[in-house]
Amino acid sequence: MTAYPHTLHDYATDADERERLEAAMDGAPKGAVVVSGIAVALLLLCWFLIYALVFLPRGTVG
Amino acid sequence: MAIDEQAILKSELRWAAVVAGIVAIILGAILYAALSHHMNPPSNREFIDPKTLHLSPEFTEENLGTRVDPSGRVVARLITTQFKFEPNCLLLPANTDVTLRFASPDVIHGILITGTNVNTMVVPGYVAQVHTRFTKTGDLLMPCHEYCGLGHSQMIATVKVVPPEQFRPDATGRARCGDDR
Repeated sequence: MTAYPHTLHDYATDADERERLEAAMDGAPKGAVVVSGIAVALLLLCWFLIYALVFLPRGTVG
Repeated sequence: MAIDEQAILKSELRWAAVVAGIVAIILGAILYAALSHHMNPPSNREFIDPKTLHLSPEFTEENLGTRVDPSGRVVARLITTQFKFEPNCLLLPANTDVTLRFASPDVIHGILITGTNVNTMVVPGYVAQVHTRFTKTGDLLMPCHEYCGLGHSQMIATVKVVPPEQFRPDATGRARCGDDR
């Protein structure tokens, strides 16, 4: 049976590479939060722009 | 490198709180529009027999179009049918509360009035009703937006919104577009 690498650690061949990998992985979650935060903020901003500039001025209905 | 499950859980909970906050803000905006601007989905539930629509007291030919009833309420009645609106032009006053009532004798149609929030389905067997107030004057297009057959793309009417001082119904309370029959 072939042993496949399961974690990023399995790819790192020496201690130095392992350290660099750990340092990179420490920052990754923060980057993900920033990217997804910007994406969601832009989406919410577009929703509000359409709500305030298109939907409300089109007048009452019911 | 050990995965810190507590840190992952913490960030997921924070993200869930942000999403809950966004949903609350959007619901708040919808409630604000509903309560302060009276903007709600049209929700009239009124039955009418589509087979005898032309014989019903309300949707007879002479009663179609815009009419100001004795209480001063402006009501426009339209029949949506394959593939036309009857009448094909409505004259309505701006800055006045108006009621639009639609009925269909054949298949499901849908109407919207461009540049406004008026948008409803017209289902045979029901009277579709929309209350609205036009804030701008001009000729607005009112197409059928629910595919109703081969002539669907030809099914289009005009809503002529005029300043209130130019809206002059006749002695019977009817108001028509100039080129209307």
